[in-house]
Formats: sequence, structure tokens, C-alpha cells
Amino acid sequence: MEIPGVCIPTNAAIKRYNRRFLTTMMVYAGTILVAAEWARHGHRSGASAYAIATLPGVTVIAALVIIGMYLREEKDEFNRATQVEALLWATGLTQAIETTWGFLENFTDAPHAPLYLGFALFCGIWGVANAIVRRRYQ
Amino acid sequence: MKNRLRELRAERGWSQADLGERLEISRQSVNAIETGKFDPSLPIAFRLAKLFSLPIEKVFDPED
Repeated sequence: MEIPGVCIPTNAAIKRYNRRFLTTMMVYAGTILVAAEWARHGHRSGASAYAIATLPGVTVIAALVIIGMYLREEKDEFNRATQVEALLWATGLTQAIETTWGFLENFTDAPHAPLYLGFALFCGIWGVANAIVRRRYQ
Repeated sequence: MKNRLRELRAERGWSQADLGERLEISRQSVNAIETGKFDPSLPIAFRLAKLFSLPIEKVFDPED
């Protein structure tokens, strides 16, 4: 499994993960479109605006649960170990980058980075980390 | 941890993929174990020993 979301289906757990993750990402894209359209029509306050704006975040939580389900269902301990290591790298580096960028925004004229990019950053780092971790074992 | 997997596998004419299929693990996992870069769990180590009909210490070298 080299790229989060689009993994080489080498076993049943990865096939299930691919199906679930890709479905969730399609729902994620749909909720962003709905929330953007809702805001574009001026609905920026009230319970419905907050509920709709929260939907993309809910699908991100679902994606994280799906990653957890994959780790539970993966029977190949080597795959599981390399994925866990890559996920730890992704979690740590995402937090480090976001924290550092926050300080840059506070203390310099660095441009504002939207917080919602955090999940995309996490997935990108996960993919790179996974490739690097697995290369070590070749 | 050093092991005799490559030698035992060669004696039987099995590829890494063949061994992986018998153990229900990926070829990459077999390669990582065989090259000593990844230490398998006890259940996998015992399954390997059973597959080759050898005591576990004849497959893995605990001194390394």
C-alpha cells in the first residue's frame, strides 16, 4: 500500500479499505460542494449553516475511523507495522508543520494557511512516509 | 534476527510468494523476515517452524 486512498489491493483488508476510503472521500467532496453552495447563498449563521459546514469534518472523522478499521483488519503484521510507523510520522509531522506555521503567522507576515488543509497534508505525508518506511525493508 | 528461511525455502523450491501464500502473508513480508530486517511475531515464527517441520531455534538464530 503506497498511496493513502489508492492502494495496491494485495489482500482483502486493503480491498475493503480502498472501497471504504474512496467512498468516504467522494462523500467528503460532495459535502464541501454543498457547504460552499450553502455559504454562497448567504447562509452563514444559524444552526443549519453550522451543521452543514461541519459535514466535511464529519467525513474526515469517518476516514480516520476507516484507517483504524484497516489496521484492525490487516492480518499481515509486516503491512500493519509499516503502516503504523508511517501513520506516526504523518501525525507528528502534520502537527509540527501546523504548529510551526501558526507561530510564523503570529510573529511574521507569513500568509494564513487554512486549517482544513490539515487532513490533506496528513494524507500526503502518510503516502510519502509509507514509501520511505517500506523502502527500508527491501 | 538471523534465520534460515532462504535456505529452507530453496530446498523446497518455493518462491517468496509461495511461502507467503502458505503463511497467508505478503511476499514483501516474507522478504523482510528472510533478510532479517523484520522480526516476526511468535505466532508467525511458530507457523514457519511448523511448516518446515523444524524446532523454532533451527529456523531462527536467537544468538543474533
